[in-house]
Amino acid sequence: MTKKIRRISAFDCFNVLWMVLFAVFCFVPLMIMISGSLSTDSAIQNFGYTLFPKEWSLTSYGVVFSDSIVIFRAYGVSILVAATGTVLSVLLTAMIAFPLSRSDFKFKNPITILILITMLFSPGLVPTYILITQYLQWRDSLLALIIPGIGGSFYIILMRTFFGDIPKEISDSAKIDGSSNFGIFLKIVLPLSSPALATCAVLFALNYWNDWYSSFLYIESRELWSVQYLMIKLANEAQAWKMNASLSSGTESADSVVMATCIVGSVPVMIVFMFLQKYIVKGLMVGAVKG
Amino acid sequence: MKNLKANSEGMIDLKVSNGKKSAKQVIKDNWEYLLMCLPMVIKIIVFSVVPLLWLLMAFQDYTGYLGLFGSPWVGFENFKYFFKNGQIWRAIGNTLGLNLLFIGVGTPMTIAMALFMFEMKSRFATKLFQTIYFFPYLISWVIVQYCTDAILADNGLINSIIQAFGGTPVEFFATRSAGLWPIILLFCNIWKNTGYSLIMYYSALQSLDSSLVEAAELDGAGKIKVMWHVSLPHLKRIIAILLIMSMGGIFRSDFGLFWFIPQNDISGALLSTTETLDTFVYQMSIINFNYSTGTAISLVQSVVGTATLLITNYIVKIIDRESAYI
Amino acid sequence: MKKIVSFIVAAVAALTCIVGAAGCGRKGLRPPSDTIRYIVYSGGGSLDESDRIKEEVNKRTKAELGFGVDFEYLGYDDYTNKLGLYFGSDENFDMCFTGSILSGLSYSDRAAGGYFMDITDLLPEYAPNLWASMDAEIWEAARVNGRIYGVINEQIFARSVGLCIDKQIAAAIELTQENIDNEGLTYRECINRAMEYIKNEPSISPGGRVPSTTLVIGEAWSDIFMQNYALDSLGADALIPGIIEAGEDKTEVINQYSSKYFREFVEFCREMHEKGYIAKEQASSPITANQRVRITGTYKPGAEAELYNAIGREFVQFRFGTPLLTTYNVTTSMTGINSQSGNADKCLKFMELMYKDKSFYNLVAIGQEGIDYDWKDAIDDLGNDYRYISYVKESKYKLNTDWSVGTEFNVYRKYLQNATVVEDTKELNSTSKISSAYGFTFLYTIELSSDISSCYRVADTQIKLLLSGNYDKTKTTDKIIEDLVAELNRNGASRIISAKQTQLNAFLEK
Repeated sequence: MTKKIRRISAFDCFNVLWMVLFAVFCFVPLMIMISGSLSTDSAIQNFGYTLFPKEWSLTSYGVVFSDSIVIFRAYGVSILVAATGTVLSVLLTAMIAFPLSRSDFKFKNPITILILITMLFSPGLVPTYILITQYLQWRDSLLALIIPGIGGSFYIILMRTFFGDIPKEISDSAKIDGSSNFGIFLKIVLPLSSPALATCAVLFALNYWNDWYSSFLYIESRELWSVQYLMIKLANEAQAWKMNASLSSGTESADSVVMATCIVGSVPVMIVFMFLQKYIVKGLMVGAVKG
Repeated sequence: MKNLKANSEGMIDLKVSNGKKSAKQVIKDNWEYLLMCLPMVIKIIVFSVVPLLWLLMAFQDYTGYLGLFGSPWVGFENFKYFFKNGQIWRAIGNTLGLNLLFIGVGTPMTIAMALFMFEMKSRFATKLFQTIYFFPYLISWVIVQYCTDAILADNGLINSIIQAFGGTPVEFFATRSAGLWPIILLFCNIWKNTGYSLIMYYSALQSLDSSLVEAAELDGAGKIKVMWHVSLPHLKRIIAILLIMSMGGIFRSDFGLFWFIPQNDISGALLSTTETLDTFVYQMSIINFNYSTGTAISLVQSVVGTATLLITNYIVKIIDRESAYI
Repeated sequence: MKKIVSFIVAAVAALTCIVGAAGCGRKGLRPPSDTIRYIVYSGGGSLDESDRIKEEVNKRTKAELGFGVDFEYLGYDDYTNKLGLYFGSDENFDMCFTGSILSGLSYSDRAAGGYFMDITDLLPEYAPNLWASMDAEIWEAARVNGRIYGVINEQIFARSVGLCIDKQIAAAIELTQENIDNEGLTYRECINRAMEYIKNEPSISPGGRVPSTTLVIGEAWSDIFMQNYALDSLGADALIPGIIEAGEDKTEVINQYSSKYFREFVEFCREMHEKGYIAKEQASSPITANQRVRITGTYKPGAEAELYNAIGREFVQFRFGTPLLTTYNVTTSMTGINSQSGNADKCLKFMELMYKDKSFYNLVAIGQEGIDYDWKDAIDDLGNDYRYISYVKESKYKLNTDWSVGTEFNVYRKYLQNATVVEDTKELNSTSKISSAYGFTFLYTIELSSDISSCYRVADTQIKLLLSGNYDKTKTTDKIIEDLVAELNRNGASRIISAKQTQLNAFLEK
């Protein structure tokens, strides 16, 4: 059999070029933000936001990390919430998506309708707040950050679609071999859809990470603040310094600090996930093969 | 004759039955599935279904300390609150138009990108690009507005380039530029959300059987043909699903995008083309903070969304039965 | 299978109804408790060490009053949203900051809706000194439908326009209060003079380009507008159509946007933009280091001191317009007690202690000596020594809203404040003209609420356009006003005005 010689075709060039262009498009505002976080406020006021700082300064990061205990604790909280929430989300979503993708599941329609209803109709803030603070008494508890955010109708439908892509013949032959439905789920469907599971895991984790609103509503103790919430608070304080210089404690720059909070809140996560994706996939495959 | 219908295994079910199975039997057959669904169903019922009762607030003059059954009923007053204002139709029109624009342009573009990305050799490059494309999703619009301001301001990036070429600067934030803004917002939306959708399409592509691709290539098909005839059809189901779900949200909008980027919080110059239903509702609530009216308009958005979703689903069903989801 | 599904649906429906019925609202007030929960309006500074203050406060209240206090600080960004949620979900809190300035969640709105407790009889009983600290006349403003639902936080009530100009510049253009009074100068003329000087002064404006935020229109533009011409917004937000010319004792409700006053404002905005004195960020009114001219709707003895404390530049303050007592101005800062609270007496006792004990007040409003502030010495204009408090920069308790937790007159003296600043302000309050509609609050009705919101939206958009310079520059001033009034009328402005007139007439007849 002749070996296929991989030439670099025009197609490949065009492909890479387009990918790079779009990457630049996505990256430029990020660069502006990074540059803003590294410049002094007077530079921002005089020259506006530029791609490279006209006057360099690390004071903003100094401000953000000034209370390092608080930040590290916030990272801890965020990681805990995101990790727990993601694991639970992936598990529960997969567990409900699997039956929905099976043609012999008789209750498909009612459950799908249930999911659709929850996706289309949202009850609003008041009943959710009453439920969580008065009935469940989860005020100031991490449970309020984790449990309500588990899964999501959109992801159930998404996962169901991914599961449906798995060819029927595979699961059929397993059934003939005497496998139970659980078995099909664990030994066939999960391993085969591990890229999809990893993708959903990333999406879940990012949603948990980004969610500052739940902290705003339910968390009072400083020890339980998440990173994003802390950053938002800091950014608001920075805005207040602009309004009233007596509120700041020195020579910090307000706009620059706002940029720095965004960078701290988002960049570490992305870098971590870029590497984690590989391990999530591996982990799922390993687990599946062993089982 | 039901009991002779081919089941999922493609074999004829020879179980002799009297037509309808009893409830007990059905549960016994599906008990594993039911058990698997249970946790999530409970979570959904507790957190998303039971609170729906409070949608009744839309028909009341809801007062906190009186609760749901103690507040006075006012019929459709809360709906009239919004619809009395003629401007709501402009807002609705903008919402629909902009959403259709975003879906119409964004979806094909993201699919194309996913297909092209799938052709890339280097896994590392793919992961790198995917990660970079994801950054914008993490940044809130409040912050992005500083960047868009830097780019679109009178002395910003674009105007500097225009002036360097001898042209007259464009006042992007003045009323007369309102017509440009759907395009500007389209760019912003693509910037922020492509990475997110891309991951989903790309993930679906990974379950594509590579033997099909090889077979097509052996038949002499070029890259583009392979993508069009092999990869794209594989994505049929997920495209349909995502499309149907986007249509369900046709009356909603990303508040941050339409409020902060055109600087509607500072100046009302661009409202004619950038005002959506959500920003309209927000403005109508500043002087009148009222959960009842908020619930009313949310209900309208949900009902209309449901209708569009069902219609889209029906259309998809006609085209390709498998892809629809009800 | 259908049976199973219908069974489940019925079960869920039953469960939902049970839950709903349980949420039917309590009967009667909550039982009293050992700790009162106070929602405080904070000004955006760091509150990382609020626990420290809370501990100190509780030491005192437990010893002297027998109960504890739990503070919850909400920044001004979040305040309306979160407090609105608390009201809407019947949250268990006891007292909170309120006032006419909280759009959407104003004192009169909440009081009329039954969210605040009627304390007309409780006040004199549990907080007698606080009650006696202000005249019965002043308390009239807090009456909604004849009863009092909140405690007024005393501060400057009789407002007029305050224009702060950099001391050196004011001297350079020879501007003094006497000149203004004698020659009848308007704020517009004075600002023009100052800005022209600034524009031509190369050390401030290099290349003739005025740096951004040199001139700032601080606070809500409507305050300036109303205060300058002695107009009364009848207890509602000034953007809503319908005002009276209280300065001239008129009681006819007119549309302010078709008045000569608004025309003057439009011309002022145009002028500032055309001459390049003002930049786009005006609507956010910051106190920045660049600032040299600042116009606000509150002439406040001591404003210069605040500006000095903030940016280190000395200012001179000039006053314009006739100071006027209106319902809106008097009720800008108040403290209300939740109508469901079982601790009303304790809340009032707490407020009484805040009033009577200056050190306690400053503990809550400023912080602890040595940690949050220091005493320093200086010499005032008259050559007398005085001590003033200076904020410690590194302090982690910066409430920044000392006017929101009680009477601002209890705050320790600040730099550049006169020895008699409290007496001066009180004097100003008691000798100022009282609006003919004083004590009247316009209450929204459900039929009008849509019109009110629509008109607010229209007016707000137009004002933002004018302030940001994005208005249609090809239109004449007349056209701008004409279009605005036409649009307001399309959105029910005339209905609002006639409703205001009806309510006002009914009030005046009493």
